[in-house]
Amino acid sequence: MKLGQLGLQALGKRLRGPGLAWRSGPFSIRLRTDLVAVRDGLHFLYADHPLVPGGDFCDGDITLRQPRAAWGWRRPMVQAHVDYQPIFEPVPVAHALPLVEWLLNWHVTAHGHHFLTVHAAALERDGKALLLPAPSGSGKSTLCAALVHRGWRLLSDEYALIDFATGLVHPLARPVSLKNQSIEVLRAFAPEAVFSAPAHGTPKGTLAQMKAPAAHVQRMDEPACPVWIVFPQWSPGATLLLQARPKARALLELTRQTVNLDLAGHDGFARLAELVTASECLDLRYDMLADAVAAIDAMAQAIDHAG
Amino acid sequence: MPGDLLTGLWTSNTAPQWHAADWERLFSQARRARLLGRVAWLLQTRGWTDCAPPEARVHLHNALRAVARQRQAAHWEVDCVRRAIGHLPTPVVLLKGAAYVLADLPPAKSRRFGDIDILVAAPALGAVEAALAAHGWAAMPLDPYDDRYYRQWSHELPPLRHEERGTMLDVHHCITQPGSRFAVDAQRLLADARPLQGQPGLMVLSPADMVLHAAAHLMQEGDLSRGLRDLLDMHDLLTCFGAQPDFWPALVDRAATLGLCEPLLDVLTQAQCKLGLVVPQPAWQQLQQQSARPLRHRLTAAMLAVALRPNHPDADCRSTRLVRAWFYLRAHRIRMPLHRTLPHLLHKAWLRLRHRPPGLT
Amino acid sequence: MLFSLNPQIDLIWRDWGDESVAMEAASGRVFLFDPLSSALLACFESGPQQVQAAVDSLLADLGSPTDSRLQEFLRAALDRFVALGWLLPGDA
Repeated sequence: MKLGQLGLQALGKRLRGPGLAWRSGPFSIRLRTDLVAVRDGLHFLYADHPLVPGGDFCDGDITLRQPRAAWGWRRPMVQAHVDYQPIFEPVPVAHALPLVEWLLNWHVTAHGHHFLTVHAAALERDGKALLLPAPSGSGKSTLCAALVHRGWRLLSDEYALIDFATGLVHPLARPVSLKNQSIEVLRAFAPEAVFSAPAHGTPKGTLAQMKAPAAHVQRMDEPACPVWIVFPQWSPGATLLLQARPKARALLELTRQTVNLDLAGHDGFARLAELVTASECLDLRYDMLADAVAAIDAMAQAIDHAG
Repeated sequence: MPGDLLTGLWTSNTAPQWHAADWERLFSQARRARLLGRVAWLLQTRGWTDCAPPEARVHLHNALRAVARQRQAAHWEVDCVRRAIGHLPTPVVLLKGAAYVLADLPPAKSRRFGDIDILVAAPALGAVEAALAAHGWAAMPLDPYDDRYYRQWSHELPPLRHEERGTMLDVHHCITQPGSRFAVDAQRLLADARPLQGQPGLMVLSPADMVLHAAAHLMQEGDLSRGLRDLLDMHDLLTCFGAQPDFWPALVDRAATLGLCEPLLDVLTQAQCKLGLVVPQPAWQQLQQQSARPLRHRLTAAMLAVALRPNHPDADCRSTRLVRAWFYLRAHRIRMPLHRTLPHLLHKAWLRLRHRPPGLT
Repeated sequence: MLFSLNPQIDLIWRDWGDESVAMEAASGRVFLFDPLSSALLACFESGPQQVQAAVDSLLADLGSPTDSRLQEFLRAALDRFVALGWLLPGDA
């Protein structure tokens, strides 16, 4: 059963009671809250995600409650809890949905060590996966969102999960988080993209979540083999450049973006090295989103023509 | 509510027959208590891992891998410390987790340890700090109050952080604070320390001192929410060392010499009740005689039994909060004289009131 | 002066032409190395070496036994390995 098949009332009842449990790719989460804004936001963003059947095991839990603090009356705040323990500072209720996304990412990095967790966007086309490893601020989420609306299947926008044994990338198919002008840039690039209501005034500015297309969510259990590793760097005024990156430097950067490499040790390093050896590794510098998308499409088609 | 699923695991003789929902609660309790690694180890050694749902087993496997990785990291970190200060004219005694790992003691198999703790002779503190600084360790920036707290009142230098590796190192010159009710003469500890095999320049406390250090640390610890973890460490040490002839009489004698009979008695009581530790009768009787305050002991035992429950709503009872608060105050009272306790607690409370939360970080 | 490889380190290498990437698993760190530095470290894998002998032997292999810039480069590489704790003075 999918999350969206529950009516708002039933959804709210689960959230206030035993918790709403759903799955994104290999990770399940149980969320408890009485915040109506979160109920409505989840119903919208995660409508196509499968529910975890009652009584089944969930990988993690999140609770969102309004703290009973003296300053709460000025601006309604929400405090997150994991394992019933407060985590992070309280945030305004208006920022609750970005907070949920943040916590889901936190769960992946805290508990996902059966995968190599790479700070990268990941997409798939014709059975071949594209990795976009990059630190925050490089534009990878915006580029990822744009590619999603140009024929690429969304695997993940923030963390790529790489199987140790097979090297395949496993999808999460979660909403893509965008901020500030990226939201308008994406709306212009892909008018069909669907967004949550933006949250203004966060420390990162305005944040909004772009819903993952239903068809992509339905394929959340289909991993893909990486063929391209592209290191994106958005830079205002930059001339478009897509060029080969030396393999050693590609591996070095990939290890820097792998959140759990220390824990993964030699096995993780060997897997990343194989990935780099077997993939085309490139640097991408761009200003205009459309140019970057076109360059990536051309790169993908070159592989197609080469067979 | 499933209740405390965690504590009973260690004394259970039968494999757990739980629903998936109970396993989820167990994991939540274990994570909160920082005991998932220990749970994974226990299940593995008893052949019970397959009792857990398939989706849950991956977390057990991850927990064990994290323990193994941290053991390796501790070896490396200690090697770096040894290269920095091993040549100085002071014993360098590894404490707590670093000692368990380097001496290959049972707690190291299943537990993750954070900071490295070392004990050095007080006169060498300046030279140690300088040598560590030359090798990349720097004191964490502290406000003047906290800096004074560490240097004047506490038994540690301010925590040191390695500028490249980001790892933490705590340098002690005593295991309890000067002015503490459990004040221990560090010279006695250093005199009894044992060399660490294969690690020239490094030592560990004697078995009795290791146990007593752990007991004193637990009983002067204000936050007992992870106390079960420390109790399990001690249970492991006592089971391991207890196999050595004359360990128990030597432990009780040493506790009397160092003035640590009270914390030892309190901890052994809990280990017997909660974890089924067997203490030889002669040693138990001798310890009770040395401690000589039966009413205090009974009251503390009752409160500790509550305070050492897993810190999780499943395991809470009505008095949990009150009991934990009592131990918090008591620990400060033990660690420092009253004329310092009150101003210190007021200062911490004022800091909390002053703090206002920012937005999303 | 005699140096040897620290037995605590746990290295895995991948080489591509003129660059190598190494992960040292005990510290969890990853490094990019040039071929000369990798070759210098490799000299110590067989056992303790006198520094000058290792440097001279490498330079002889390269056909540049007296190149002072290369000498300096190798000395700097050695210092780097010592600072990382990978090479220890003595026979460890």
